[in-house]
Amino acid sequence: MQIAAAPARTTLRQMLLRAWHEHFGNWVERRIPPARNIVLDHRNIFIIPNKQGLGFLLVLGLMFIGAVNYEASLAFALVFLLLGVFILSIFYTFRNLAGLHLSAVPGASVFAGEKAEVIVILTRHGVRRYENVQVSFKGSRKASCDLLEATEQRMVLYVPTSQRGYFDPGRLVVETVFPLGICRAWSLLDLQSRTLVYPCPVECDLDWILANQQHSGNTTIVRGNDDFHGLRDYRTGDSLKHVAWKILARGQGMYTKEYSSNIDEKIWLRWDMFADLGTEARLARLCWCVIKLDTAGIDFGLELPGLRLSPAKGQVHYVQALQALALFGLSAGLPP
Amino acid sequence: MSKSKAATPVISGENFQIPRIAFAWLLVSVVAVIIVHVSRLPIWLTAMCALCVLGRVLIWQGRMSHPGNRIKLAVVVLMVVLIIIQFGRNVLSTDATVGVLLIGITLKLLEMHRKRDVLLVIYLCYFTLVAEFIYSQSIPIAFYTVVTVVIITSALISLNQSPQAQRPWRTAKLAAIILAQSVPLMAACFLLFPRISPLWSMPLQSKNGVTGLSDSMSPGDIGELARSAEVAFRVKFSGEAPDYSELYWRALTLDDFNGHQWRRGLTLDMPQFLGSNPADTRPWFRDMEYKGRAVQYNVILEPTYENWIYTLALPQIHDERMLMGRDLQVNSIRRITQRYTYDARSTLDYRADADDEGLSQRRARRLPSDSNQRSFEFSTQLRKTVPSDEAYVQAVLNHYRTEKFYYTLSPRKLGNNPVDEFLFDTREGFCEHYASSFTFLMRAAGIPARVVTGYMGGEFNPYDSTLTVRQYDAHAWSEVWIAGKGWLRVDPTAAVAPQRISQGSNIALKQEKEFMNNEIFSLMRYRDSRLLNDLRLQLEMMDYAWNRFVLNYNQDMQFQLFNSLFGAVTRLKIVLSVLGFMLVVTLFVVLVIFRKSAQSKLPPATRYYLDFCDYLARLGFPRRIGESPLQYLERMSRQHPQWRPEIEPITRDFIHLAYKTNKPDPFLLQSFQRRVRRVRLLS
Repeated sequence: MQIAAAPARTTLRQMLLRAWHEHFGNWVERRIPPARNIVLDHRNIFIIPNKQGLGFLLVLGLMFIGAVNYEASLAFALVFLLLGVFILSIFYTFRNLAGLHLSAVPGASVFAGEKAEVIVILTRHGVRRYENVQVSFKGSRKASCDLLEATEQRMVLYVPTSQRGYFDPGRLVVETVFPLGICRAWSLLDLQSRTLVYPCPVECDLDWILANQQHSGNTTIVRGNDDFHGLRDYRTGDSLKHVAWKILARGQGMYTKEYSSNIDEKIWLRWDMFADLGTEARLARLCWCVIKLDTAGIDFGLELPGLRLSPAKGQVHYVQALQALALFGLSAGLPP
Repeated sequence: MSKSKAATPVISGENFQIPRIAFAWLLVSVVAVIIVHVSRLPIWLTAMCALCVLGRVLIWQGRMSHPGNRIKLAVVVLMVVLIIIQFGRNVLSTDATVGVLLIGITLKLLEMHRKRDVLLVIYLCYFTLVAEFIYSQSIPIAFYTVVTVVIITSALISLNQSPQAQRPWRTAKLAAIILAQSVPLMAACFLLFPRISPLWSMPLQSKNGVTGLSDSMSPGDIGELARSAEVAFRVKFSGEAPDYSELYWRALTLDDFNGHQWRRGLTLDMPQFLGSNPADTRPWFRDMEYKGRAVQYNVILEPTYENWIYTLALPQIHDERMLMGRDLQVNSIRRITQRYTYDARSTLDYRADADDEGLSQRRARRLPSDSNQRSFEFSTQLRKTVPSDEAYVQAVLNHYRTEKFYYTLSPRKLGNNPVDEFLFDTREGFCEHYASSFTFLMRAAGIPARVVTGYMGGEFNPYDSTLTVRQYDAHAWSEVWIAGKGWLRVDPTAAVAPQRISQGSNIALKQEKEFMNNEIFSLMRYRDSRLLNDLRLQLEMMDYAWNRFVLNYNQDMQFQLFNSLFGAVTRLKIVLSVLGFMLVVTLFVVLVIFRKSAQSKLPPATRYYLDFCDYLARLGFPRRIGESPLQYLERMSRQHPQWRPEIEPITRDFIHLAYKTNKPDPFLLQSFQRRVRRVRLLS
């Protein structure tokens, strides 16, 4: 009986914990609705004495016992003075967040597994100053900043990603224990910063794949990509990797270097190239191919179920292709 | 205000580095906490603390590395051994505890690796402040503690500042503001929070360095006290104070003489418990007669680490903390290790133990027969010449008066027969010599007599009419028992030095070199300068008020205050009033913290100019919305050309101060303010 009961209890605890988290999450969702710009005030700041605060109270308790036992009036006064400090610290800590404006800007897109960059902007309006305010996302480190002379601070946070699609870093934790460190005021904000996360590229044998493409027929395209062919005028959309920088530096204008391999070759990356793999695995390999071909400066087209990108090259095309891969099959992944 | 563009985020890592300011404030607080205890600490302990602080500084500078575990263990073991050697059986006394606490704090300084460690040191510093109050709660110590609290709080705040914070005084200012704002709360709690009686009695600390009477008396003991001007106790009479020469503050009754030293013998009679109801009294206590007017007074006693209480004879006290012996000595049940206050009433005219000649009288006749033979002979001779015991008392007093006896603080040393030598050879002595020899002569003649020690006189402070009794007022006198009259006070010193009794030792001993020898730097030395003496008396008045109303604020005073505020005291009322008071005060403080004064945000020049516009508006010419100062000036000049000489310079000054300078010259600003304030326009 007892043996059976033990795991059951754990499950119950876990269940309760999960239920609580869910309940709390919902409550926070209702209490602090997502917004691009949020001002902290009494509606969205939580405040509670922290561990250090309990330690402070413990010390006060000991001092009180000392005061009682030695019947020392001034010791009573000291205890009450520090009790007053404790109570005041609640308001001071609250004040160190209240009135702060927060917004977030998503950083550049990353590949799944890399850390997404989110820039949090803290702004103060008015005369109140803020010290040692910390911001963090779940999984990121805490970044702290002061708003004393400055009216605006930008904090860059790096949040680990795991899946492709639009990445939601979760709620931003803004917190402070300033000035006394015995109370913690915090808020959980959804600043609607969504970063696009591309699939995590997985290496595959591009040559072999291309060789097996019946209708393409080209087999040696990738190999020859180092043979310099000539220069042509730069056109918008050409990969920056192929700009003839030396010529540009001499001030003779902007040219694109052409290689033997990237002339006239048109490669199609197709969904059915990896017929025996699952969706994510296919996307990962396609992603790797896209990076590879872009680096090589080769035109490529992308064909996914329900989506077709004509062969092209350049930054815009590259991003389009990665976006298509990132959002493939995700209806909920659309940016709000 | 600028927008910072390149803000590098500060990442709080695992490797905790104590912020520079926090470190500085922390060291200052530790030193501040230790310094007040230094005079009481053993030297090695102070040295150890100093070494630790120094070591911490060296570690900070990188000149020393953190001590290894073995060194730490060795140091801790060494400290434990030293403390046990130093304090021995008193290892649980307050002195030892404070020593351990201070050593603990300074050793912890050496191994601060995490924020938690720093926090522990800060909290311990707060805690140690209580220890300070066990020893002294004087006004200077209170001030010092306030400063220390600000310093410790600064350390706490700077620990929570971001590492970019570089201005220690700003931190201290914030700490001071927070503490100042919590003062009303403190006052509320102090006045209303229910005081609890001690949960358990604390181990007593050693009596080191306390001057005062001891439980025995041998020649030279009381003279030693005359070196000190320390306060023994303070008295406030309600109603008229008795004559100065009646101020005999009785402490100890010494009835056992061994030829050299007087002590209190064992009393077989049960002492009277002064808190009990009248029905439950000892017969000897019930038989005492009180005659005439009673004197009411309140005494604040400095800690003596002894049990006895000072009263004017004969006291009638109702106090459950006290006992009275049949020899009229009043004792507190607990040793007086804290400042102690009590109310008493005394009837100066009384009859005690008058009719019943019993054990105590028999004991008061005992003398060691193997010494002081000359005095025995002298008393036998003298007794034969007078008819009664009372006449004999007078005869002995006359002997002191007529023979060449000197009242001095530095008499010659006495040998094996001190009474003989004093009475017939040296003839110079302090009150204990006279009391001792007089009592001896009484006993030698078969009259019950005993020595009483205590204090005589005191100093009246004209500013608050309190009486301050100091150590140099210590005195010894005699009591003789006359059948039918009971125990009567006789002061042989009065026969030799009447000034001592009528004006106090202060006047009588002025010329003595030894007098107040310990008080080289105190204001007491300068009683002859009127100005300084007035200053001293005023300081003492403050000290008395401090003692009476702050330090002795206790349950009784609390109940009185509560009673006068809310009527009958109930538990519910207490809780409600405490909560209510705290709520009100908190709300007030919060309002102060969060107040938004729109005016104060404006630069001063603008504020003054707006004041001027208000003035014009009151005259009926408000500035229009969106009207610039220059436009306003033009419009006003058109409407009232005679005002132009007044308005124009103000407008020009304002434009100069507000728009043409970055940081206005304070002098110009001041003259601008003055100009605005003085402007008077006549229509």
